[in-house]
Amino acid sequence: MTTPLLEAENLTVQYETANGMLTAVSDASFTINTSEYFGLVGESGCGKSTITKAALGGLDDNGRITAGKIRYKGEEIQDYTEKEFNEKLRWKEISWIPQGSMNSLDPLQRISEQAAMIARVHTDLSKDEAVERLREMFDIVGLPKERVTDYPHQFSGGMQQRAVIALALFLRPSLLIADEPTTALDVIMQDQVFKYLNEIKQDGEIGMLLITHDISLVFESCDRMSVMHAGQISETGTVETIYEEPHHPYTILLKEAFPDLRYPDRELGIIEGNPPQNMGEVDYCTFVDRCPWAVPECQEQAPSLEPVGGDEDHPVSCFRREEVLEEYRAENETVAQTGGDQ
Amino acid sequence: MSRVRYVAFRSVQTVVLLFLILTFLFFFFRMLPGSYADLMAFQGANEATVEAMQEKWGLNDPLYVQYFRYVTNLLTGDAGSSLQFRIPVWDFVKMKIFNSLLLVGPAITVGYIFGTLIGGFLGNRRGSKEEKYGLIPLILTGSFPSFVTAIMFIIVFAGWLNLVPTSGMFGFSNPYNSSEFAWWRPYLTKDFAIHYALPFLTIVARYTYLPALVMRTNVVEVLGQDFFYYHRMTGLPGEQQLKRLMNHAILPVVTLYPISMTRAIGGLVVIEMVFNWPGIGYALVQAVFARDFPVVQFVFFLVATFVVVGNFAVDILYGYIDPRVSVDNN
Repeated sequence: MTTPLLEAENLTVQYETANGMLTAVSDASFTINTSEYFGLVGESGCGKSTITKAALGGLDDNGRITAGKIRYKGEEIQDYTEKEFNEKLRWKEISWIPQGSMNSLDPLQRISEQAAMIARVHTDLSKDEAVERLREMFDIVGLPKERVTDYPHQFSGGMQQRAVIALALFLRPSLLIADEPTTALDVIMQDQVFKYLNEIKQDGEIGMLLITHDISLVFESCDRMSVMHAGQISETGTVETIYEEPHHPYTILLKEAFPDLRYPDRELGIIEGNPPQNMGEVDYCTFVDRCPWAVPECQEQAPSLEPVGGDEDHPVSCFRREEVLEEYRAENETVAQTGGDQ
Repeated sequence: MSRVRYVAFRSVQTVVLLFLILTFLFFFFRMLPGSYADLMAFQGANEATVEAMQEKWGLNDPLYVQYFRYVTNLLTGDAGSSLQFRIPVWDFVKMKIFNSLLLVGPAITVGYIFGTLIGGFLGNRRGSKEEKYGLIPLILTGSFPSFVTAIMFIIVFAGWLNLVPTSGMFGFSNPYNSSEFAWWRPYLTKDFAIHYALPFLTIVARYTYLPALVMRTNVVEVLGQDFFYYHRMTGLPGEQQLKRLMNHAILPVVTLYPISMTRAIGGLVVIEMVFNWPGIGYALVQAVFARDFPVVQFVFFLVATFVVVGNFAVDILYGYIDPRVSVDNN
């Protein structure tokens, strides 16, 4: 088996707050293979962004990886110093499209200047070579080449977003972490950006960790995915598996909450309740309060990711992983029948 | 609007503004109760003498005639004569302005440099003990009235330690302070340096606080900005990050500096009085008491010019250091 590109193993990240240790991510595991597009979906505040920050060594001052490991190309990076992150990983290997792309470019620098500065830090490229590469990337993301020397304020929001994507790609990293790369864009722009990201994918060479709360985006553009809720990963698998055969209650309900083009009149499901704030050690399933299939065991112990139906590539963290989907389908058939009578 | 057109437009604006200020000053000071003639009469000059003098100086002419004469003379570089000293205004004020500039200019500059460095340092250590308590000494020295700081300095350095003289600009024994030497020669002596030290320190103490406070706040703000986190994530090493940080945080200080510097040309009255420094601030107060209008008007006009032109210069400069306010492309 080849070494995965990025691997999280039983990763736990906690933030120190006035009320104690807040567990943002607990016991999360997933792997991203070389040149694979991997989606990570989940509700707001479920720890998606915290995972990206941990992988880039950019956790807030009060955040810490308290357990588990992150490996990049087989090397453990969770204890890297800021200097090691700078010299070994950031931008050369792992680049990042931030959530708030609109405010991410330095307003006092021309974009070409910022690119030249990044290139000078990480590579032997001359200023002209760096800017030339940025020009190529501008072309790919659909920005006029000659505008690399513009200041960020001369760009619209969508253009800034694409400039940030160009900056993330111009040093040809092996892994791109895209944290809600298109949240600020309208659907047409969103579509274009993903068109570019898919084009880049054709060339191979690059893997992506796509963080989003838009599950359909992941179904459309990724190979494999994980679903998160309140700090725990509920289910991992290929997008086809998750789409066709979701086994975790959260995934089932989440899918139900998204409109389906084929059944435009279907009533959307609602996941009742609010995500919990997990303080201290998490020794329970964080979905238990909202789960219609919960059993007492869910309160007593945190479920770990175990293969469902013997499929090693489809781990689910639920004690009732083998039964829930069937129960759900049986119930819905009754609903469909009674619904048909009206 | 192109840069050239913008500069041309602002220049015309500046000239018009200065003319309005000049006009305002001329009439404003004539509305003050009392005149130089009244003062002379009060001091016992006989009526005929005063009347003859009024006539000779043209003070009996209608106000608009005086005004027209004043403006046309000023355009030819003649600001009139001091009523008190009977010498051209420029000759009277030039050395005093020089003395003020020499003291206040470098002192405020040094205060700003210190303040910027201290504020930048403290802001960069946000959340630490240094950041929490570091500003307290500055707030103390900065909020003391200048004369209190000045008097404390005099007590300690001139009194107890007896290191420097209490006041003045030169001692009686300065050998170069005579007409045999060039006017600048006495300034290059140790005698001048020791007289310079205390007022200089007083001003530095006063003007370190504001830039330090502004700088600390800015640094903390920039540290919290998305683009700064992005810089960090792109893998910029610490010193480069610091450079970007300072580049941003210093912008508001750049705007404040010229505003403080206008104090240099107007003089710092209180400090000049406490240290008996022969600067323009002190001279201005005396001129106002003497109703010496030509001097007062000229100095105020000079200060106004400095402020207006200074702001103009900052506007232009700002276009270079912050592309967002550039006049091009907009």
